[in-house]
Amino acid sequence: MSELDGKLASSSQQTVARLVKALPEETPSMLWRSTLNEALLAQSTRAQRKRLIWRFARPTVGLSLACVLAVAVFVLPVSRHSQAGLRDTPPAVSSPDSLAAGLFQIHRDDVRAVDLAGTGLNPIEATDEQSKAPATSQDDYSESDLDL
Amino acid sequence: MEMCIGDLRFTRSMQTDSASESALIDRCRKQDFEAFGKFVDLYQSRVFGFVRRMVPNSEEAADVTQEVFIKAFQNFTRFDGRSSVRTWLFRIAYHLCVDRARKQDRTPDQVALVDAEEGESIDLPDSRWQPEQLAVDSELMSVVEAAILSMSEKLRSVLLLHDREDMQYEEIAQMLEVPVGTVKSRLFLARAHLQNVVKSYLEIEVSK
Repeated sequence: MSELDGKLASSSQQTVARLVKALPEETPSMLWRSTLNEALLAQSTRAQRKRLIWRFARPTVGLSLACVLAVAVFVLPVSRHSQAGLRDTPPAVSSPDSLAAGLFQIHRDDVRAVDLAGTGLNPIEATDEQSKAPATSQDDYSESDLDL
Repeated sequence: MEMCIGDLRFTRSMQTDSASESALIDRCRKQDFEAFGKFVDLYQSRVFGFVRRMVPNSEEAADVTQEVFIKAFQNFTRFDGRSSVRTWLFRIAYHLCVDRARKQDRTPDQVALVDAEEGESIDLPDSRWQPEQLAVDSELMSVVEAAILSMSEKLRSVLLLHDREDMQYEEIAQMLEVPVGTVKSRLFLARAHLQNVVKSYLEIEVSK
């Protein structure tokens, strides 16, 4: 037992403790009790109302959260994917003139191929043939071709 | 044998009381209005007595006691049973009393505490010091009440919680959030001050 414990256990200290213990009990009045009952009843009613509101609000809140989650998990990634797909397509041809020129060259090669050898000759061969033959003009045909 | 049976009955009665209090507390946790009414019946006098001696004004003490029980009702769902329900309730009461005192900035008159180490012990040849006779000596009680009010709230709270409410040092330390040694020191000082006041009163009475 410490020194303080010893002092607290002394007879004079214990006498004072008994004196404090013997103080008269205080009892609140009936008016006090009825006022308290009214306040507690008001609290209880408020608490019950909150519980009732929450009982109906909880499923609504739960459903809303579920919808938000569904959108976040299923809808948003799909839309992001489709946007990414669009971004992956190759860019449009920058010069419309070069595209037209390219298409026209392909057509000329096809026509040359058919004219020279009918089916079978590929445009590259036709192009080679043309490049070997003397070019008299810029025209597609030469006199030898026409057998004139 | 009878004593054994008596002890057994006593033990059973204690167990029944403990079980019934647990059941009452469980119902209060569910905000059962009727159960809480019984809870108020159990504790209203003790809480009011404590508050009445912490907050000198009667009307304020009544208001604060009501606030204690309203707060207890509101927060009963959060009572987790780590401390006893009594400790929990008196903790609410203590903090409300301190808040009320701070709002009013009520500082008790400076009272010179007796130097406890040099204080003389009370010699009790006087028959009035028999505890069972103290209850009838209302004048002495008034002196004691006045002496308690003259102390600081720190000493007063410890004195009332330990000597009047029979709380253990550890319970009080937990409630006031101070070490156990501080509780003991405050208790010693509070009793020493009371001892000094009562001794002076008795000396005056004897001299008459």
